[in-house]
Amino acid sequence: MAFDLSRRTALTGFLKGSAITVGVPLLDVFLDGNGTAMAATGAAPPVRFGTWFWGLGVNPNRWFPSAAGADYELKPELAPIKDFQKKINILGNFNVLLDGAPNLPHISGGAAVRTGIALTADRGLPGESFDVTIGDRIGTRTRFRSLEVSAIGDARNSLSGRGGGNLNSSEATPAGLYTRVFGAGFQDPNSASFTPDPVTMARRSVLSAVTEQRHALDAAVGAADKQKLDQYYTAIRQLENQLDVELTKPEPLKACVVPHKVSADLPVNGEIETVMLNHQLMTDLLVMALACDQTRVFNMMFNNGASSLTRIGSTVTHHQLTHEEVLDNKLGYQPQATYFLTRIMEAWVSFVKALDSVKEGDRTLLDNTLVIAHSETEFAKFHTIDNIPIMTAGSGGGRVRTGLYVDGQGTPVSRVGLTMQQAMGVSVDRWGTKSMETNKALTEILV
Amino acid sequence: MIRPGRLGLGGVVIAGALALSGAGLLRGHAGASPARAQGLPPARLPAPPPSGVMGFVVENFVPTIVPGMDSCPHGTAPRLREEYLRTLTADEAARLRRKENEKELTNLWHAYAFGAGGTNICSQPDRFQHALFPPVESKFAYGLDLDGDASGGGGKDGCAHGKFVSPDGLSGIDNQEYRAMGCELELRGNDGSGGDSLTGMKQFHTSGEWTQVILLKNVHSLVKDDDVEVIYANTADRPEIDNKGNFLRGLSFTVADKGARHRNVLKGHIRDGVLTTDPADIRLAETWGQGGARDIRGNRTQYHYLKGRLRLAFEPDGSLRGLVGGYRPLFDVIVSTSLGGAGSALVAGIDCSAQLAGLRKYADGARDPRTGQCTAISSAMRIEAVPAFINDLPTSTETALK
Repeated sequence: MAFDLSRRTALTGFLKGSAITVGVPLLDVFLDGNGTAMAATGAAPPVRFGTWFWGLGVNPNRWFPSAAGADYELKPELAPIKDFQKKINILGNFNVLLDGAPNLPHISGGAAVRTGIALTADRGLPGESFDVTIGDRIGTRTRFRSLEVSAIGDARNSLSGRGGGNLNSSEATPAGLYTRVFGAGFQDPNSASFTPDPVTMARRSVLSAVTEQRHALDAAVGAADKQKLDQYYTAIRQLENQLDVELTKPEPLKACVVPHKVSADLPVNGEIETVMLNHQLMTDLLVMALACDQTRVFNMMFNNGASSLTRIGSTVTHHQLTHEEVLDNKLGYQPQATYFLTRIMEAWVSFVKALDSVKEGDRTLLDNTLVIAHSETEFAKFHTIDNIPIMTAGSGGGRVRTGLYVDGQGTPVSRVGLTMQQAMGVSVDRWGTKSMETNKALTEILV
Repeated sequence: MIRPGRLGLGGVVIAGALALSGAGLLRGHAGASPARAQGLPPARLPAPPPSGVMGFVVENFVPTIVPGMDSCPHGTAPRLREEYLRTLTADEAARLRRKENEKELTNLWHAYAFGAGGTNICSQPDRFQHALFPPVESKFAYGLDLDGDASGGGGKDGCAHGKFVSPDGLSGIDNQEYRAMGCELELRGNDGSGGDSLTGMKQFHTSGEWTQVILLKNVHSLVKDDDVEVIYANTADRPEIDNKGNFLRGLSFTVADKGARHRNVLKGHIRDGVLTTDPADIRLAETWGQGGARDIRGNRTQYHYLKGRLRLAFEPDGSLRGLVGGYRPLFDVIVSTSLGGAGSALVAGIDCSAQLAGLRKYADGARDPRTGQCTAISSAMRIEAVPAFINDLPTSTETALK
C-alpha cells in the first residue's frame, strides 16, 4: 500500500475529532477492566496486580508453617509479617516439574513460576509471564500497562515478558522511576485543568496510519511471519491505548498525591542498605503510581536470583554466602546468608505496609491489589526448586481470601500462576506445559 | 492389588514431593552405621515373597563419613580465600585480613583462581599446583574391601594404599576417596558431625533427578541364595515423602524404556540376610542441576563405579541398608564442581585443583600399566532403600548404559 503521511496532515486529521480541552466524551478509560465505574463515581476502585521477587529462597524449616489453614504458625524467618498476617497467604509445597529439562541454577525456578514452563536454555522467558497476561486484562487503560522496577539497580533484573526470550526491562533507579511516571507526560488527576499534549496527539495519529499499513502487511505475509508480527502488533495496540489515556482527562483520585522529585544523585549498588533505601523510595513511587492510576500492574524485583547483595563495604555477596558458608549444624542454617533473608523479609513487609497505608474508600490500596511474592529457589545452597517460597498479599478487591497457609502437597507450581490469572479475570482454565499443565486453581483462596 | 515385592503393572507415580522437613534437609545421618558387619539371624529375617521379586527405592545415597574431628587433626580443608592467605607471610596475611583491605584481598584471592590463558582452577584443575588438602588420618572408615588384598598392596591392577577398618569391625576397607576428601567442609561440616553433601543429596533423589531403584529377582531365601538378579537403575519417577521427609513406601516406579537413565544388571548372592553383588561396572545418574544445553554445564555426569558392587543388609522392617562401592575415575569425583568453572571457585570457594591433586595422590584403582599411575579411586556411598513397586521396562539386554 502506498502511504504518504505528513505531520501536518496527521495533526489535522486527528485534531478534527478531539482537539478540545474540555468535554471529552466518556471513554472506556473511565472504566476498570471489568466495566465497573471508578472510585470517583463512588463505586469500587480498580483492581491492581503485582509481583514482588526476591532471590535465594529461605531456610525452609525456619520459614514455612507446619500446618495448613488459617492462623498459620510464624516461624522465625516469617515472623516479620506478623502485623499483616491476616492479609498475607503463604503457599508451600508447590513444585517445579522439569520433565528432564536441566535445573538452570537461579533461573529455572523463577521462570517456571511465572510461565508454567520448564526452561530448556538460559535465554530469557520461555513463554508469556502471567503478569503480562493479567496486564492485558486489567492494564490496558492506564498510561503504563505495567511498571517493572529493580531495587538492586539492574535493568536486566526482570521476570516479566511475552516470551521468546524477551524480558521487560526494569527501571533501575528511583530517579528514573520518578521521571518515567511523574515526569513529562504525567497528568495530575486532581488538577483542575487538562491539556492534551500535542506531541502525544501526533504520535497517536501516526499510529492510526500505521494501523492501516499493518493490515496491508498482514495480507501480504505468510502464517509464520504473522506469528512473528504478533508481538509487535501487541506492542502497537498497547501504545495506542496508552496514548488514548494520555489524551483523556483523568478522573480525580483522592488517594493520589504527586510525590516530590527524587534526587538523581542517590547511590545505586548492591549494598544492602542502599538497596533497602532505594526499594523504599521506589515502593513509595510505585504506590503513588497505583494510587494515581498510572498503572494497575507492577513487577518489583528486590534483588536478583543469584543475589549480588552485600553488606556495606564488603565484597562477599549474598549468593556467595549461600554456597560458601557451611551450614551450622547446631543452628541448622547459614547465619551470615540468613542475615540477608531477614532484611529481605523486612523489605517485603515495608512494601505491604506502604500499599496498606493508602486508603481507598473503606478499603486500602492493598485490599484492592493482589501481590504475589516469590523467590526462584527453595534452598539456595542446593538450588532446589521444589517448594519455592510464595506469598500473596491483598485480596485483589475481594477476589482472594487471605490469612491462609495453602499446602500444595507436591502439585505443580503452575497452579499458583493459574490462580493469579483467574483471580484477575483472565479467561483461562488451563495453564502451563507438560507436567506443569494444570486446570486446578487454588480454590482455597479464590472467592 | 499390587503388593511390595511384586512387579507393579502400569503404576503411575504422582509427580511431586512434599517439602523436605527442616530436619530432613538440614541434618545428615553422619552417625548412622551404613551396614552391619553381620546379617540378621534367620529368625529375624523377613520371608522373601513367593514371586521371588522384591523392589526398593533408594531413599538415601550419601557419602560415608565417620563423624568427629579427630579424623582431621589438621582441621578441615580451607576455602579458597583462606587457602590463598596461607601462601603469604603471616604479616601480609594479617594485613589483608583487616576489614579495610577486604577489597584488595578479594581481588588477590580471586586472581589466585586463575592462570595463564584464561584458565581457572576448576575448569582446568590439572594446570595448577596448589597445596593438597589435609587427608583423613584416622584408621576408621566405612566402605568395602574392593581389592581383596589385606596387605594394602593394591592387588594386580591397583596401587598401594592404606586400608581402613570400619567402625563395626570389618577390616580391609578401601575408601581412598574418603581419605582424600573426608576433611572437606562439604563432608565433615564445621563441627565434624557431617557436612552439606550429606544433607543435600537427599533432595536430588527426592526431586526425581537422580532417583534410584533396586529390583531383586529370583529371591528364594534371605538366608542363602546364590542366584539373585539385581537391577540397580535410575527412574524418572519422583518419590513422595511424608511430612517428616521420609519416602513413602509401596509406591510405583518405572525403569523407563527410553530416556537417559541407567540400568545396571548385577549378579547377587545372599548370605544370612546380606546381599552382595559380583564386581561389575555400575553407572548411575548424577545431574547436579548444572546449566543448560548450550554450555558445558548442560552435560550430564554420572556415578561410575569400576568393579562396583553392593553390600546391602535386609532389615526387619523390609528396608535395605548398606553400601555401594567401587573405583571411580578420578575426574568423575570433582566433575560437578569442575563444570561449575570459575563460579565454583569464586562463589563456593572450592579449589578443584587441590581436590584433583589429592585424588591423584591417593588413587588406588585402575592402574595404567604404561605409567604405573592409578586412574581411579576407591569409594563408597551409603544406601538406604525402602520397599517399592518397580516396573522394569528395558529395551534390550544392554546393561550399565543409557
